[in-house]
Amino acid sequence: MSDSPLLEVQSLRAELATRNGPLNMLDGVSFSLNHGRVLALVGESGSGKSATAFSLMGLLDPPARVAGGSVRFAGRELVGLAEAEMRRLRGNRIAMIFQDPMMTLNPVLTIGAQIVETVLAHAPVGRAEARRRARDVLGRVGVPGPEERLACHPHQLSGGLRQRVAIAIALLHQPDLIVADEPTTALDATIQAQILREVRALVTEQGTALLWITHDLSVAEQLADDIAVMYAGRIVERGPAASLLRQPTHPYTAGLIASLPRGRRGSRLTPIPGLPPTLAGRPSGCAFRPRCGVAGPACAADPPWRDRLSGGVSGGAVRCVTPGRAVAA
Amino acid sequence: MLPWVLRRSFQAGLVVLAMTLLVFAGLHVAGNPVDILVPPDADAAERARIAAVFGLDRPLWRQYLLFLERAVQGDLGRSFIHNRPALSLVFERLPATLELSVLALLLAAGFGISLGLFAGLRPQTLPSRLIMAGSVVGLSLPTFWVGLMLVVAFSVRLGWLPSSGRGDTQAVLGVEWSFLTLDGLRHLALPAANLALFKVALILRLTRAGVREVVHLDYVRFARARGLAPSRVVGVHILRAIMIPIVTVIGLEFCSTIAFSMVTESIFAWPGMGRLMIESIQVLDRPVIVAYLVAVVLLFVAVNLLADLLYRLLDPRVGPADAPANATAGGAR
Repeated sequence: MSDSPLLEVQSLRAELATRNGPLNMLDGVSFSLNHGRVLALVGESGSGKSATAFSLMGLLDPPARVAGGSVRFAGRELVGLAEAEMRRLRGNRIAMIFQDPMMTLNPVLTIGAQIVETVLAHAPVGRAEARRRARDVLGRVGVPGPEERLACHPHQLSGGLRQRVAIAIALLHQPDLIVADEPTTALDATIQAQILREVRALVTEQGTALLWITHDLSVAEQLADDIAVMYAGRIVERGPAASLLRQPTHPYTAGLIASLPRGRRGSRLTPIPGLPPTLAGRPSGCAFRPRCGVAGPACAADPPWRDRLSGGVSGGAVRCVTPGRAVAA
Repeated sequence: MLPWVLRRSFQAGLVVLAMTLLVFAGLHVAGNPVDILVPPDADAAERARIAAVFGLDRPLWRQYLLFLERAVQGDLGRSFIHNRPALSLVFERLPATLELSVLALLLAAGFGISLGLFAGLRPQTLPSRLIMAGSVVGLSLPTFWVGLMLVVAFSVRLGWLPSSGRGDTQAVLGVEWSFLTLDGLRHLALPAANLALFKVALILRLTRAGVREVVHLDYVRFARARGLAPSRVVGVHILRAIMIPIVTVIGLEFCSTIAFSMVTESIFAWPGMGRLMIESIQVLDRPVIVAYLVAVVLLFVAVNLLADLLYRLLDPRVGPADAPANATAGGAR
């Protein structure tokens, strides 16, 4: 138990049933995550980041479904776990924070009712105790006047406050793992920075593992210990955050970093040419091939995993036949 | 809140005024009640005497003003035929219609919402497809025909249920109710089922559409991601979100059932207001018609008020304009 990581995802596949047969949403996603660590899952929209999150939670709705692979959480296999068992984990051992705080809280129920019901779903306590916990957890995430907020409806709170409420709900049962699906994307930059700092502190304090999904590399840089880059339903490169950002070896990662505004003012941004493939139009072999500046005939076959940095001990891994060439070029 | 209720009441008063004007004018065109009231062989003196008794000898506008004058004192006139206060005739029949409508609506809401939830949550399954196909049938079959078929099937062929009348009644607070006795309930069954069929179809389609719409919304997914029991996700998070249109339709349907239950009441010889209305129109019994319509208008207004109040309970965002809560941050919604 102590040796195996808290969360180990292996060759996870998810597909979307369509009239013309199933489409691959996730094509063999593997990563692992341990207590007190933050893994950022980075990629463009449609790359399968959210699908990964919902697959882990067992919340993929038909016509989408998990088609194979394994998700081991604290020694238990989650793929194929009975819904009742899964429900006992959700919101309790694995919590989730959604992207848009305007949409995640039920508009017709008070904040208090929604926190209290989450307490009662997993803890054998009375209403008064549940309410006390609700107030405490709101205070913990920096919601001012928690007692009064309990009686508020979501529309009476700002977006930043609502996201704090969602984070508070995630923290209720001291989960082992929090899956956060772009939780700061919809917020102002200042509030985003605040929340990132506080989340980081909470994770360190409680030893929670955090899977943070984002399309924003700069968020990943601030928050994450490790980064996994997703493209077209696969992880294409993973490694320690600092090393991966300083020395990207997959052409896609390099492209993402080059398209970030950084360094001197007025320095040129280099966008990645083309668009990410649609679910139905994913190329065989390396899916990034059509947009890649250094692609060759070898890329038509599925690229193997390689060590990211030759000689690096824990430099991560990359899925490219010619790693590092784009960066050098 | 109170100004809003007052405004609604004022509007209701205007509607009643306009409605009574229309009824007076309409019935005047339709015929002279005196022709019906006097025996065919009556002479001119007898006709004049009868007309004078009911005030029908005066010009129509004077009759109307007199009616208004009495109406504000709570007197809607006496029935030409029964020679009793029209209002008490209507109120006598009200309980029969009321219990029939309420029962029909309870059936409709119960079956409609539960079938709609099922069909909305499991849209691809065979039972759901059957439910949806059945709802089309329920919506398109004419009420009178279904009523006749119910009588043929359950009364004539099977002989399980009586086809006419109210059966045994039980008095509560001076009013006779059928639903308090077993025999009364048996008499209620067919007419209530007949009235409910269309509404079940309507409510179930509405419920299903609502469920399909909200089930993929983030807050429903979030509710599931919090590990809430399915009963709570469906019963609280989904149901509350879709209740507003359903409450609206239930309110409207309740009104129209009470106001227009004539077809069903005629088929099942149910002695309610609908039957009274038909009988009164046939004999141009103006006071009863007016009293009936006034009662119906007031009922519409009351039900609409109730529906509006329910909206506010169901969705806090539907607040009165003066509610301070809406003024704070997050007005984006």
